Amino acid sequence: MPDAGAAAPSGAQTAQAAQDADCDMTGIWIARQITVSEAIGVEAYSNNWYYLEYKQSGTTVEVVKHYDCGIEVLGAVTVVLERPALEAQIAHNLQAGRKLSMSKDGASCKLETRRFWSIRGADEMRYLPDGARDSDMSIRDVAMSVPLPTMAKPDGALDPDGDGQLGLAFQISGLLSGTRNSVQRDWTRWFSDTGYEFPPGMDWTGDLTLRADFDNEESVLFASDSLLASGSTPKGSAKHTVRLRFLGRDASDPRVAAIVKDNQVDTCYAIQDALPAEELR
Amino acid sequence: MRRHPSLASIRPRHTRVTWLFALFSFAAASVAHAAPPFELAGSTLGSGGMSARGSGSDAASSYFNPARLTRAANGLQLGWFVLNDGINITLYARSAANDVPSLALNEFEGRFPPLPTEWIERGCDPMQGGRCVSKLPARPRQSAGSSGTAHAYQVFGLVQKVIDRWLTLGAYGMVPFDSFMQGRSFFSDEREQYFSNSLHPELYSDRLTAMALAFGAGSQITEWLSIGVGVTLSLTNSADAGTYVGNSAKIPETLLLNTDIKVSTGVAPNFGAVVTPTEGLDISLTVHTPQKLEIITGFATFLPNGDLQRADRTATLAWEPWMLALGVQYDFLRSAEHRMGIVATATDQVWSQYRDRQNARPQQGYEWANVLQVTGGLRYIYAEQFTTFFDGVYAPSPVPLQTGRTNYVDNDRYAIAAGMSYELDMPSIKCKLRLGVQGQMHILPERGQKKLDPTSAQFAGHRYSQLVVDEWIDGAMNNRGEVYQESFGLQTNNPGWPGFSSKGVILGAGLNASLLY
Repeated sequence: MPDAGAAAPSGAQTAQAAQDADCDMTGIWIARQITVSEAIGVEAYSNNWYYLEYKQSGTTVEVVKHYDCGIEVLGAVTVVLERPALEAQIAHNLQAGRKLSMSKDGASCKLETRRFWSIRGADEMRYLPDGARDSDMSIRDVAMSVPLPTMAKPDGALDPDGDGQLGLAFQISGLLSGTRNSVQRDWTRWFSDTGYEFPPGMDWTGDLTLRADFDNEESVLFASDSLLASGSTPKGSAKHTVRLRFLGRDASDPRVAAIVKDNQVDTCYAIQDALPAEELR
Repeated sequence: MRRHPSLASIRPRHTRVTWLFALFSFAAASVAHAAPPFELAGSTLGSGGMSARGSGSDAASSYFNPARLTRAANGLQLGWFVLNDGINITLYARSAANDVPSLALNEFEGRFPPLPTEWIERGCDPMQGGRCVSKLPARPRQSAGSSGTAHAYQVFGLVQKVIDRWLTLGAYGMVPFDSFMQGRSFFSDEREQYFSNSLHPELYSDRLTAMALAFGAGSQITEWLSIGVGVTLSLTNSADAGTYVGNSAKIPETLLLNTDIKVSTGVAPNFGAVVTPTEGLDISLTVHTPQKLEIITGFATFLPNGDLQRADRTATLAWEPWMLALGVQYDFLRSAEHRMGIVATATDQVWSQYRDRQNARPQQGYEWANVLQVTGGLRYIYAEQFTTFFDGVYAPSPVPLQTGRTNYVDNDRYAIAAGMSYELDMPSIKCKLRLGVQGQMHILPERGQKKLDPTSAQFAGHRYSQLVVDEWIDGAMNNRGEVYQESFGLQTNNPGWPGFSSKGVILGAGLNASLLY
């Protein structure tokens, strides 16, 4: 899949200026979100990567281009996506057009977002709450109104990675090993918080760390081992975080050229290498 | 040397000792088992020495040749014996090119993914950036060997004629002082990387810690023929461990354990016969059946999500093979004061049926050999009071060169043993007191072996399960579909790669005292 951003990253325009020049998100970013869940009593650290292009006007930040760049879960087990699954994931849950808020708050910049819902391994529009990406519904309510496909009732599930099993295929190794195909529904919200402030900057030379909220549900449609069929739940007491790294205002920045490759999958791997998977300690 | 009581002189004697013997035998039946200490040390009481299948008549005959019990004097015997096994294993230096790199972590297929070699050799600390989940101590190769240990034993024996001529009972035992029993069910291949990461002498170390106890009964059928039967007890321990793990990340706090342990016994019989075709000549025949201590461990793991899994594993410890022996003793000097004779014994040991500590048979092409152990010795008695013996042993190793996956460490063995005893009359209590001392030395000459490289040209295009396992398959790919160039060639954590040598000296010495009546 060619990466349009590689040849000509959309070159987010700065014609309509940000309200505060030193709190301006406009440009090309990469991000790694770490959320903490528990499965069979074991903490798992889910690393999710993103490619992002923002355009800011006033305090409104619009997502000009985005794609998910894969998942790796660390803990007692390691969970990864193989290349076909990553390729499939890139094409889904696109955030382009989403609006965020960025403003100056005293000596810090403050980023606020609404929720963003993602569906993996199933028909996105069918399983979004009310068809909306920013719904405030709880997972529980959504699950009751539009339950995810199950082994018994798989209708609505897809085989995005073409492995012959419905659901997205996750490769698991470590304490347990095997393949688990599942359908997932989650929401995430990124926000500034006490202890996670970041100072204004014209060129964002340092990474920005934000807080994240999330909730999810998962329906396992296939597991090569019975223990792999166990579900996971978010750990409520954990402080999920996001690390944002600024690459440049446009594609001419050498920092962009170092990451953005000829296709989106290789770009994603470069992002994963730049912000390697970690466990929250 | 041997007393040949006339059949007429044998009188029935039912004493309290008989009943004590019977009670003792019953009580001990629940704990006794295998006999590796017997086989290594020979008779540590009396004059049987290393030739006890074909010479000597005392409580030790209960194990070695129960037919000889008919010639033993009634009595209680006690001894103390020390064995020091000093077997040195040297692992040959390995190349870092054969290490399993950390890069390979989580990139393995198969049931038993290897550990990164660096973790094993230098440990791993997640707080220092290591990719391990828990802090792991370093376990360098051969840092946890199991030789170089002195084993002290309490030796005891008992002989009692129950029905003169027809039935003589005997018991003989060696009980380790340091621990009642040790068993290490180590792996003899690359799987030992998860545990001691070391090689261990296959036929020594923990096998010398087994309590050994035998019972025998002999009968003088005719003046020229006596026969006997004995038993060592084989134990089967069944330990069933049911667990419920509330939180897999906090096993120390959330593990519930429910154990169900059972011990059942079986007997491993042995048979003996002594033929005396002419004055001064004894021909002994013995058969020992296989002996072992079997531990069957069952695990059941129950997790909060309702996952219940169960597995069983069997460990076989202190396995001894079928042994068929022929012994000949001839007293060429038989005067009133002096007796001197020679003894020779050949023992066929059927090691080809060997089961290792993981209850596995050696692999095809690396089967163990049946071997003939030979023993020769001299016996001298002066005035029926002073007895000496000297024996020499050659015990070839049944283990073939370990050029493949397994690391069974064993050597040929040459041994010498000597002892003496002196008998004092104690007319006031109508007994005799016999005091004895003996010593032995076993030499295990150095044996070196280099392993075959399974990735070498001679094996190209084939995979042989008998060879060292290439633990990171050539051409392995990561989840991105990229081939790891580092995976080509041999990567192994087999502690025996690329080879090893072993040699050693085993020393033994003991004292004994017998009250004969």
